[in-house]
Amino acid sequence: MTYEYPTEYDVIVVGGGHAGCEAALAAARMGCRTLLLTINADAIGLMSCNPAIGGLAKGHLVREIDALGGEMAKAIDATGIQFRQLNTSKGPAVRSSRAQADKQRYRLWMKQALESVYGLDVKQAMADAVLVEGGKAVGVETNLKVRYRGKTVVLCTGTFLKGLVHIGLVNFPAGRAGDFPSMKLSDSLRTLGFTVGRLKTGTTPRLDGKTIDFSRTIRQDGDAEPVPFSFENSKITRPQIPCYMTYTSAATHAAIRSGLSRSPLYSGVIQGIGPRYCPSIEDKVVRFSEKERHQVFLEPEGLSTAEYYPNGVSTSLPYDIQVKMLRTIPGLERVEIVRPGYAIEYDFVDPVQLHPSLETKIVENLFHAGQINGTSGYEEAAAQGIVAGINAAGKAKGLPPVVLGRAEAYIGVLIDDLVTKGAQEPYRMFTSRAEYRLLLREDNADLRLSDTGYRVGLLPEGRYRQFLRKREGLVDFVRRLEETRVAHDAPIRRLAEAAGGGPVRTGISYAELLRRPEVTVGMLLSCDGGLAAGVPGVAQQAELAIKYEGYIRRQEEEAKKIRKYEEMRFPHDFPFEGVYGLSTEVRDKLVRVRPASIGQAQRIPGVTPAAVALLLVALKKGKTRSR
Amino acid sequence: MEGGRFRGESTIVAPATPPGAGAVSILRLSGPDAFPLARRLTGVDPAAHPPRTLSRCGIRNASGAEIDSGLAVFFPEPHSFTGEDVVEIHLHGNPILVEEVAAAACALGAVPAAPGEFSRRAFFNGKMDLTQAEGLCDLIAARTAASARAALRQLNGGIRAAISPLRERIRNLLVLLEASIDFPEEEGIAPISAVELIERVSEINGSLSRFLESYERGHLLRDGATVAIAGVANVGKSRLLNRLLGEERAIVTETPGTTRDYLSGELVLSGIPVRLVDTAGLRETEDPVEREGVARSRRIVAEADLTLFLLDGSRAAHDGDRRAYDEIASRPHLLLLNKCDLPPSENGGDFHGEGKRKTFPVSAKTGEGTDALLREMARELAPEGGATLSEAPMTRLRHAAAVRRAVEALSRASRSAGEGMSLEFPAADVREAADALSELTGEIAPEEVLDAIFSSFCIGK
Ligand SMILES: Cc1cc2nc3c(=O)[nH]c(=O)nc-3n(C[C@H](O)[C@H](O)[C@H](O)COP(=O)(O)OP(=O)(O)OC[C@H]3O[C@@H](n4cnc5c(N)ncnc54)[C@H](O)[C@@H]3O)c2cc1C
Ligand SMILES: Nc1nc2c(ncn2[C@@H]2O[C@H](COP(=O)(O)OP(=O)(O)OP(=O)(O)O)[C@@H](O)[C@H]2O)c(=O)[nH]1
Ligand SMILES: [Mg+2]
Repeated sequence: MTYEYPTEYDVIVVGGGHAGCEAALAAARMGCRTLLLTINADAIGLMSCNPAIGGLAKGHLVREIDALGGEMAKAIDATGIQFRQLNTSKGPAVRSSRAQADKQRYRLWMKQALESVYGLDVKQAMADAVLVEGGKAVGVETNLKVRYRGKTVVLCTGTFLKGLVHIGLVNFPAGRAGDFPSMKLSDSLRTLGFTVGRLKTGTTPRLDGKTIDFSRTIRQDGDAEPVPFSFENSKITRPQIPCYMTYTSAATHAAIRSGLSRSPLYSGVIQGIGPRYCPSIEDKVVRFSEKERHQVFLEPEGLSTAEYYPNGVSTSLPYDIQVKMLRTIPGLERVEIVRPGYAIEYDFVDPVQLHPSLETKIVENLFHAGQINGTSGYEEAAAQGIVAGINAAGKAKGLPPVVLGRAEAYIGVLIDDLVTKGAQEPYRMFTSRAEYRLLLREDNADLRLSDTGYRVGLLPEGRYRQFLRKREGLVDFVRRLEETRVAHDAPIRRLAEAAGGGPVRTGISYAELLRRPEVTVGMLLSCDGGLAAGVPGVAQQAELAIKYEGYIRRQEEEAKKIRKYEEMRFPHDFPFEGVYGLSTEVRDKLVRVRPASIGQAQRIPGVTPAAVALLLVALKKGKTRSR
Repeated sequence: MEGGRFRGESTIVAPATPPGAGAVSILRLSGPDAFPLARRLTGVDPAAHPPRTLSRCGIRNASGAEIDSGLAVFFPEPHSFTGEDVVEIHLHGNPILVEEVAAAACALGAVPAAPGEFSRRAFFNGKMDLTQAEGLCDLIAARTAASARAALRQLNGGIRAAISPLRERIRNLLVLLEASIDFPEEEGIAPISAVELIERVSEINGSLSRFLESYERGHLLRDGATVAIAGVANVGKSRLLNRLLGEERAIVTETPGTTRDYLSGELVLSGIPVRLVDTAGLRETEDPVEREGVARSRRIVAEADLTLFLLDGSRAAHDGDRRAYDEIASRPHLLLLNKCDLPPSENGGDFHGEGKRKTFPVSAKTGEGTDALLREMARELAPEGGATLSEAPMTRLRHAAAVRRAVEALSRASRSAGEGMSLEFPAADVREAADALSELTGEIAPEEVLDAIFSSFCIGK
């Protein structure tokens, strides 16, 4: 007997992982009656793998989520135990933040964030099927035969769909080690017409800290001045703890090789495709056999646990080999494993079946976000989660979808890549995926996205007002740099000349001075007390805007040119099948992706400029015909 | 297009030979119905006939009456010019017959080809890239054998062949940069150093610049060159024109101000089609007709690729000569001392616009010195160097602009790296350079470029 749950929701989110949490919070904060269903209410916001948030290009995503009004940045600021800026030597646009999280505290923070929103119900339940009526999603049915009705449904099921864990040649179904898998939902999706594929990922063993000899490792502290992720925080005050570094050795590699015959990867048991950029240790040893050692970072899993995460030795080798291999590593000679490393295979749904809003093309009112779309990583998941949440809420309220552009946000790049190119392997964000990288910096995420966050009703009033003050402060500061002239007795002259470069002419503006490679805004501030920027972060941002003006302007112009093609939109029912002159392969690609615009069509691999020209002709013809 | 079949929704028809009477005219059909249509028109069954060989046939009009006896040849897709099924019907060269058969084809469902339609289909079907399509266009329009050769090399993919390895090198450099940026030092990827970046950029830019030099001659091969003859009245400009053209083109008299309007003739200089223009003598005058002539002369000179400036070597130069010379001194020019058959009284010593200039004694009357002059003109127009004749030279401004954009972007990369800017900035430049070269071969082609190219085709190509 099925039980029809009496409440009708606006938005039902399935999955309490990183995507699901952001989606549910966004929808509820936008005023929608929201339900979050998850298999295990103790595992909400749990980090399945590395206890860390951010990293190269991922830090950018976190700040964008924050600028839109999301939770991830605030959660890590509140529970981070070691903060670091990465790539500081490589330049302002690719500089990224990363922080070690206290895994349990992070999860509890997320759970509490959900619990503190009125109109958001969290329930422990396993969804088995999406309910569809007349081509539209109307709710979900759980394994207890409960039917929850909702105007929209967002699936954020992560690695759980038909999850299969491998440790050596032993394997068993699980959503991740220690959690139930979701065995039925992906069949429901397949029946609805979705293309379901299989991917694989893996994680490291977790180690008992009291069995590690840290004296044989290299201590690594975080930044002396930890920089918060969220634009609303100015300081991190909690005490920071160190990580440690060690290396594998020839003995480690020998141990690994001795276990390859029982590796599920090398014996062909695992069918799913794993991420190339995040190889297991056995993969590294086999593929880069000339390398004598690999780095291993020992990262604490939290303040109230002794577990350590040995970053760099993700493995699905048999348990005995894991023990043998680890004990060859300096500092780990007597180590005890708390949880073994493992690989997991799981179902994902082809993301080209999504609109750029993350609504599926096959079933209206159904949205997919997170690892179900073939991505990997918490930040990638959360980024999609917030967009799916915004758009599901918008759909329930009858608002048009929010789609971020490639020149506007990494989130835009991420989603556009997914819906245009699909996922042949787990998709991770890289800065090189963004053609307008110089525009998409961590420091200006708020400038890029606060307006959108506020407009959709997600970024709170107070935050938005704080942002407006900052933006005004920035404009004002830049103007002052442009207008202030260097007096002939100004101390900055001596300082700038001492830093190298030619003599400083009297009367040039601070802005001109700042364009010299060796001059920094810090030098100006130290020499001219009256200059102080007032709002934090503004001086550095102004410096970037001025120093790299030429580059930034060129990318802005390029982005504007491209925008034209994004605005040439295909009607929903555009007959790609019948476009005059297309070759069969190109037509098949277009029919598969059904691009929303000429711009998106151009980015589909294999769609030639000639084909694009034909599409333009067809698009124009269609317009004149309908007129 | 990855060997994909181009699917025209229509079958097009047009004469492939120029209009007018000749021994033979060819009518071409392309599209899904080309074969069945041809069968109705010629009675030959394409399926029963070997492809790409001629077969004799009777040719019928719309009402089925036999109107000519000719030949038909079938090119099954994809091995045809357009990549579709193509038929060529050879008729006797009477425009009325061609007209009648084309009308018959249309009555059976074919449509007349739009300008450039055959080539457009070939391009869309991946039979040629953008530079090849341009090459085809230029091959048909070529005015000299050398121009035709250059166009042919382009049609055969010469530009792509020259550009592809360079683009590959740029791409490899970009890959290095991106790897340096996107992977932390901890993972053991040594970031590319500024020195290495600058070195690689300068190598690539060297090759690009050499290729760019080929444009100087390449564009002249395609567009031809204009050489103006200038100087004050009566120095012998018109007579020199006649001499160089080898025909009595212009009126020559002893009266100053004989030439009122400009006149031109064609000649070929080391393969380059040259338009030689005689102008009205540059002088101040009250005569409104002559004034207009002088104004036109100035315009011609301003646009010419080269100016031959004439002095009358048999008399001392005067202020009028100097004023006239000042007008052209900053333009590319040669200084000629005409009438060298007469006793000399001027050596052109005061006339050297930019730096010391060689003077060329010539006689329009006897032809003395004209061989040396022609050789020098050829050298001035198309300097040595650039692409050797075995490569395809760049022939269009579009090509040069794209390569220049790449060169500039790469130079910027080098400069920024030298100034110690972080890698993400040079990376942006290197990416732009790669894009610029992709645009050149049409892998990224804004639709305007395509439109411009295809609208310059004429029917039947
Ligand atoms: C073993 C392993 C290794 C990993 N390695 C890496 C790595 O190296 N690098 C990296 O970047 N990322 C890695 N990750 C990925 C990272 O954990 C995920 O990308 C991220 O957590 C995905 O977030 P999500 O919200 O999409 O899904 P998850 O965080 O997986 O959350 C899914 C949620 O959905 C719930 N759920 C699932 N099905 C149902 C259902 N039917 N009904 C109700 N609730 C349901 C689950 O209970 C869970 O709460 C790894 C993950 C695992 C498991
Ligand atoms: N001896 C001699 N006479 C020449 C030579 N070239 C031109 N003349 C004579 O010079 C006179 C002017 O020649 P044109 O060719 O008409 O001179 P122009 O420069 O065209 O004069 P305008 O058209 O009036 O500007 C004619 O009488 C020519 O025969 C030359 O090389 N030797
Ligand atoms: Mg004359």
